[in-house]
Amino acid sequence: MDIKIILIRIKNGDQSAFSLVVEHFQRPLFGYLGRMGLTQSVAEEVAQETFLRAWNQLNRYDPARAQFSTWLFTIARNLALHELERSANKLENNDDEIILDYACQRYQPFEKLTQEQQSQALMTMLQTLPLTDRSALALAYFQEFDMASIARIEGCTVSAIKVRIHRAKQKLRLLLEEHDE
Amino acid sequence: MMNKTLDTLLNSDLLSVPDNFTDQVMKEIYQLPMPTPRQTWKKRLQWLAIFSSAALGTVELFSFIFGIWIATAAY
Repeated sequence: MDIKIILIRIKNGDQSAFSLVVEHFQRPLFGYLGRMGLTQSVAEEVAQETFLRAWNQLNRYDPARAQFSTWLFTIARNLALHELERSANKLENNDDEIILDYACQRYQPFEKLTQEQQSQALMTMLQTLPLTDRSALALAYFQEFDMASIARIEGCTVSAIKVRIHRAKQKLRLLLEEHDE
Repeated sequence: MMNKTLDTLLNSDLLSVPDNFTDQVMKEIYQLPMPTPRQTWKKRLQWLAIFSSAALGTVELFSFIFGIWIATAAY
């Protein structure tokens, strides 16, 4: 997908060209939002809002300054963090439920859980990570991003990103091991 | 082993994209106005130059009229 051509088409009044952007980025975006620990319905809202904001601010995008994906995921990150912070109290209130769900799955090793159960358990574990660590980890699994792009989105240095990803993975590994014991 | 499991899981689709997601987004997009052209620094400088020149021209014109008035009012 050549974003420059799409931007020219949009500039010439072809709104439908934006559907190519949506098609191209929707899967990685949902992947990112899933790794951020958002539920399906909230992720759908955030993803839609991301594309709408991108549309409204399209003229602010400067190809010389950043890749389109970096720019788009910066919008998504800000919206996701806002949503997670907004619902933090709600999540705290639901903590008992989360622990209960997690406890129900403890009787069998993680490896033996079905894919769906594993995903569910992982999402519960992801929610225990600090937001900044979680966001860095979530971005790291999008193939198009290198460390420099992630650092740009997160607004910190590459070494800080490496530390965050390492810390997040280590915690998840520990949680998985605890789950298996 | 745990690393591999973790990587596989993090690479997997934890959420699914709704079938009609693109249509849903585009439906909203069609209701929005086209993005307005960005004011670049170059354009802003051009406008600034035009307004400054216009202001200077106006001052020049008034000072000329004032000069004529002073010269004629003296007699």
